[in-house]
Amino acid sequence: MHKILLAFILSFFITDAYCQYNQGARLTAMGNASAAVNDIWSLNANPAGITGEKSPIAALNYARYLFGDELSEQSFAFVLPFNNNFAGVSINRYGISEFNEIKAGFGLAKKFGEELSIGVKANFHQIKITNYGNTTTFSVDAGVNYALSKQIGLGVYVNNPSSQKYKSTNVETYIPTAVHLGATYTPSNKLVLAATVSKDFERKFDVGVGVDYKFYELLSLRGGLSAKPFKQYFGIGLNYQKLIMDIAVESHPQIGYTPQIGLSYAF
Amino acid sequence: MRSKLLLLAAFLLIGFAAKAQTQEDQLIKDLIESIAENLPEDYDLSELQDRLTYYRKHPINLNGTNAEELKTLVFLSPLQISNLFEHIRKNGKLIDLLELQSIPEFDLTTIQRLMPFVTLDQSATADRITAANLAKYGNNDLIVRYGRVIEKTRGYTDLPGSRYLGTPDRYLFRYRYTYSNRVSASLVFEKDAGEYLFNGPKQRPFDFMSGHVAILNTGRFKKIVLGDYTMQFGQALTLWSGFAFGKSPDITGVAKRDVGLRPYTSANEFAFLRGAATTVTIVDNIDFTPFVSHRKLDATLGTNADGQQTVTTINETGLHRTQNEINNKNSTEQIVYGGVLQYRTSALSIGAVAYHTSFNKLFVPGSSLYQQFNFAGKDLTNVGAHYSYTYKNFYFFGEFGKALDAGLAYVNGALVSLSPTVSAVVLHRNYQKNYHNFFNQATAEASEAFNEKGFYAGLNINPSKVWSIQLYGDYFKYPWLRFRVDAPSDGYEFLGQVTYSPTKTFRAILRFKSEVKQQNTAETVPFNYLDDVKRENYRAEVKWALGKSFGFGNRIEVVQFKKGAGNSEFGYLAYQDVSYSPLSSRLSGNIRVAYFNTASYDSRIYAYEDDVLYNFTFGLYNGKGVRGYANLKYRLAKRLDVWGRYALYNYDNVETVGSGLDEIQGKMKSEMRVQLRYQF
Repeated sequence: MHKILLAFILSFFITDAYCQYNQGARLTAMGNASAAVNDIWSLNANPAGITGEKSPIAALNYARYLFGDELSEQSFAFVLPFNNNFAGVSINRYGISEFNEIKAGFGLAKKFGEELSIGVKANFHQIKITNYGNTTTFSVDAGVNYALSKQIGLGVYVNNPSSQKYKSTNVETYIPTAVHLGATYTPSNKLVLAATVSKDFERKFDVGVGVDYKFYELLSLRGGLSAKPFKQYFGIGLNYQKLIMDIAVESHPQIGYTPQIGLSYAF
Repeated sequence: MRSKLLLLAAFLLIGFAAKAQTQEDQLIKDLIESIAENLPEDYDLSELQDRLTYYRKHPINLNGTNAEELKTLVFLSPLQISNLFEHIRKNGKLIDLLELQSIPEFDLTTIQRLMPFVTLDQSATADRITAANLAKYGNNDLIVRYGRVIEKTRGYTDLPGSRYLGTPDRYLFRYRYTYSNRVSASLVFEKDAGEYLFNGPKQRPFDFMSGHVAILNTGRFKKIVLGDYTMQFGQALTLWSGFAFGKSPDITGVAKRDVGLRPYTSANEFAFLRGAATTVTIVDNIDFTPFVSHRKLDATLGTNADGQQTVTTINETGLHRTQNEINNKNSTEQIVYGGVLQYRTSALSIGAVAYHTSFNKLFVPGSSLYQQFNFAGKDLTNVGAHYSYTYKNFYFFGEFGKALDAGLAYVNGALVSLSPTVSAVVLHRNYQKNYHNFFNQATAEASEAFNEKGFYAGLNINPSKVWSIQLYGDYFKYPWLRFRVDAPSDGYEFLGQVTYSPTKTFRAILRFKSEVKQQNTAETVPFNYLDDVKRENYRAEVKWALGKSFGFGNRIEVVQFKKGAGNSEFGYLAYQDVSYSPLSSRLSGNIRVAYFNTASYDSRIYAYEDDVLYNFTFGLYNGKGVRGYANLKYRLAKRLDVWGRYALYNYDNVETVGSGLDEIQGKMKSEMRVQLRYQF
């Protein structure tokens, strides 16, 4: 009974609150203001952002939603740089055992000099409901990053520009078609400020701002805000040699706190 | 030839003296204006004006000052203050004011603002208090102000019931004496419009009288104040009388600048304590401030089942115009006594507060459900502890307050300099619904800091000298019901502001503010449910100067208001300011012409208005019409200035202006003010 109820609630929530896939604990703690930020989890945001990686890197992320431990999102990402090219794979699974949604994708990005980088990503989507069936579709993300100066970076990316839908017409869930425009300001090597304006064609404008502050070599402090709905974010990052652990908490006025944790290892 | 040269020299000297004088006033005026722009309406800035005027004549010696004194310069952030002391501790006394540039967090704007009020001169120390010195070196500042609304309002007509018993004139008399940093005294009389001038009921002879005598910096006794004073400690949660800065585009405003005991010189009739207080240094770094206050308050009274008179509400307006208001005047006595203990080093400050408040009449909370946890009884004891601590580029601050036999409240925050161009503020607060305190001005969304939880975060970014960006977001929650909110509720506020100032004489500002709260629905339903109430402000403003004498300012502001499923309504304001202040002329002045059009009171707009010195106006633009004002200042003699102001509202398509006893027949409301200042 409990699970049926949860699945029922999910089928409403999924169209509203979580149509954007998790961008990892670092970008989440920065209010998802990720359009111009470089991170391995840019794979789930602006694919051009993976060009910031200097060596092969793998990451895992786990987020827990709403009440109880059942509803969660698990993600995996891997980025491989070669020359000025970058290839990346990501897999996200969101839901409970009876109801889940999977997004898996393969991205390619290229650096054109120090200023410009471009990335594209192809995604496979699947929704699976036990005793009910499943449905699949494909979508594309594409993005550009441009460094205006040493301190200011700009980024823009689109999700699903061709407005792909799930094949099954019984499913309300849609793949968002959205444009995100962002900027970063990096006044020192310890600090990144980021802002992103997002327009999902089905929804109102959203604005996110975020801060990533490397307090010590080992410890980063992060915070962010987003406007629609009004959410606050907080996070920390622990950097120990090649291993990075990120923790983020998202606070939503109605849903409450959503914690997540990520681990990444740079080879 | 010789006489011509002398004449020329004399002219130059006069010109120079006049210039210095004009600049002094202009400087403070500009500074206060820029602070006021960032404040919500109804702040009383006269105390600040007073302080700045004083420091202009008696600059603070940066090598011999303390944090408490520097905090009175409200534009300095606590982090800057603490960095300054750290710099002095490490590098020894400042040798040149230019050294300020090398202190972290001291940007050019701050230094420019600070320069006029500080010095490195040692001479100002310990002037002896003797009769001769007091007479010879004392500064006297006398202000007399008169003003009135020109049209006759309904309250002054021969009404059968409630009406204004006095005359529509407003008078203010203020005398202030200071001698170096040793002695201060003041005397204030005020009559509001509608009150009796002389020997009316319950007044001998004036409606409002306030005064103090203070002796400062005498051995262990840092401050001794007799008469009216204010107490401002910690984060304003336990003991703070008077006004406090809060959420504003100056994002660091949420870290309170506690200045401790201060003599009171304002004409606000509520926000002070009356009695005696002193700050004594017990041992190095430890100060003790005991105080006692006895005063009468205006309160609306009721009667309980035993036939006892009870207090329903304390009235803070200080207006005693109608029979009812006069009956309420001074109807309740309040006695407050207690003490504050403070320990301070350059990085750490800790304080403990305890005091007792008692009344001669019983408080009864109102009968509405939302008032259920309000204060009841005659006595209240408050205790609290506050701290601030600087660690590297972090400034931590906070306070815990407890009302004995009632609620608890705490607020904690940090100010962080993330890089030389970016600083951030975070603040967490939790005030219980039964946190009773009569001297609580802590940072809150509501006007009083109880029944509220919240988290505030702000960023201040100055990527170059030309650009400046401020952002903050605040989420707040009211665990218990509120006036017109019949359920627990929450809301949020977001502000973003960008300032572009490519030259000294040009500045453009864009500001966006959005606020969502909940309130009872306007629908008639058996049980009120809550509707979201959204208010968004968009503001664009430019200021520029033409030559050395003319200044211009324009603003456009749009407000959008939306409640529940109702339609959005809009309010607009556009104004043009022109100011004329030639450097060597006796005459200066400014005018504003504004057009406003707001759909209702919900989409009203406030804007700071220029006024005569020491008076502060936030214009309320509501309805549709034109607002205009003109201010003139003229130097009659070297120490004698006169101000004049005329302001009017001219509404479109209305038969009356205002409501109740303030209603005026016609579509105009105009007001005049004259003020004289004599400094000797």
